Amino acid sequence: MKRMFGWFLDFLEIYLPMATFVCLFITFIVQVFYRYIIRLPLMWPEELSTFCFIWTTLLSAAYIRRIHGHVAFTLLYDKLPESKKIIVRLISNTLVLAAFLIPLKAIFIYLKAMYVEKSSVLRIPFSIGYGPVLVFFILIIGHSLHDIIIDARSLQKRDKIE
Amino acid sequence: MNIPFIAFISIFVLIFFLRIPIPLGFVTAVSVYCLLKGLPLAFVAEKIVTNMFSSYILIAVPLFIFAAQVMNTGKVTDKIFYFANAIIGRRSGALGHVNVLASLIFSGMTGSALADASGLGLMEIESMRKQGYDDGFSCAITAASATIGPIFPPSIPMIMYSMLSGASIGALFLGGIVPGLLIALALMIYISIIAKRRKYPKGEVVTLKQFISSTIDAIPALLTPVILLGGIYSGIVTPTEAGAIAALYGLIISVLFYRSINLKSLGRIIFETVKSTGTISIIVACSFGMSFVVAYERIPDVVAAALLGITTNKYVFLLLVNIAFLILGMFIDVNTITLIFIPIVLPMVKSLGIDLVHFGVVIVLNMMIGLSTPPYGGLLFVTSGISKTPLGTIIKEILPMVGVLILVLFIITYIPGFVMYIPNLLVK
Repeated sequence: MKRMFGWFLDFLEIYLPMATFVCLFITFIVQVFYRYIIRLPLMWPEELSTFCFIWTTLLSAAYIRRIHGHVAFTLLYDKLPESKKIIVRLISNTLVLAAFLIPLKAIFIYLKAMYVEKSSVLRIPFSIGYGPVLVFFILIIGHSLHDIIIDARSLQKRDKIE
Repeated sequence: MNIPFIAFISIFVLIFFLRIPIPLGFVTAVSVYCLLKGLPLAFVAEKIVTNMFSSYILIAVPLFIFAAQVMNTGKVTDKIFYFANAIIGRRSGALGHVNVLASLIFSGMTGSALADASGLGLMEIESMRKQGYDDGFSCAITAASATIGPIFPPSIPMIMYSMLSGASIGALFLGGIVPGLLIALALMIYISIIAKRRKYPKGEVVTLKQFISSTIDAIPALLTPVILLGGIYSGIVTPTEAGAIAALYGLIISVLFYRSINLKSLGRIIFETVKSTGTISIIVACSFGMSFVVAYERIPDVVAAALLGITTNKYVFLLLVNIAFLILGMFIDVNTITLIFIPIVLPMVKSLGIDLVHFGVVIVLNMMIGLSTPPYGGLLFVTSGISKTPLGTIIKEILPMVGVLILVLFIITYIPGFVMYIPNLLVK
């Protein structure tokens, strides 16, 4: 079960954005080829590549959160002892968790409403094109919760030892 | 100031104290602001996706990242390095000059300072180390020369600035040519002085045969900027598409000519590209919400009124902005400065009649200097990381180089001709 969940997470955060990026790249090449070699400008590549860009960015950003790779200001944090670092992480993750939970329902309703709105050329519902934003929010909530649990446990362990 | 905005600012400050990842911190600030202000909570996500959808030019960012990854993995950077080495020859402190020249050539391919430092950097630092250059100096010149990357066209930060200001991206790219060359020249003069003082070694003797061989080897790589810029200015490709063309060309020469990329390494390149996109583009995406709050609270008007109270002289304004952005660059990430602080000063730039292209090139150079200034200089971290040189040693060496870069910044700020000559000649 845990392994399957790990694979599903990798699919969402690594393989899917890799696939959408490849799609984005090929779309661009096709666009240039059709416009300047065949002299037949296409309308759909711009739309498709924009959706691919949204998917690539938001899903891969969740992976970057998983590996703690996002840009952060660590100068002050690095100077703290480990016990204080855990407390800082607990506070920051709780803050992020709360802030991502607050608009979650509203985002779901927004995306549901966007199902009737379709892109002008490919007629892709915007709820699909914009859908990864909800996935991004859910994944960030999951990763923050995961880190909170780990830090809370290690804090508990430290207290017991002391 | 109202309570929601105070909460918004407080969270923005907390990002720095609590080590909150910057993009997630932005969402947190906007989410709390919308909640307290009674605005629809869906705004938090809506501002991200709708702005991403309408900012087509931003797609250039992952494409140029991909191009840089292809060039680095495909040994294109090696060919550039050997070619630069052959050109510089037996000059005193030759490898320092090679470092700058290779960065100048590479900057015509990718437009990212970090790609330059991480791609060319290791080879440059190791070669300099072998010849007895100080580690700190080697890392510092690698970081300082990487600054040329986003100044000489193409340029990822200029793409972002163009999106915010509406300035022509073609003109911005052209405007970066002379400042890019000026930085290279200034750094080379600095290297000559230091090399003489510290008796850094001369370059190896390059025979005519070796020179011809390394030049022939480098020709496919050297054609990249020609194809890119030629494509953009002849109207064959847009600046956004140029990233895809650069990557495709890099792939073709790496697979067919240099035989250095296979299917496995291609998978790794795509993975690394996606990772960088998830790091850089998400900051841009999440800052759209921040920009919305800043505009909703009319902060640009407030700042403009305050600044106009101090001065209405554009030269004094440029001085104040340069100082403010140099200080910001010491502490805040470049993308954050671009997307949060540039929109605040843009109304003033327009009202004082400063050319948007001139201001764009000046401010991009200013922010790139921030990448080399402690304590939060991304280029310092990259060069320290790849070479395992202590940060303190690099900082000591880079400070005079930062001085050189600031000198160039002020030259292009107060003599706009350095920036505007080529755009005026070719675009207007």
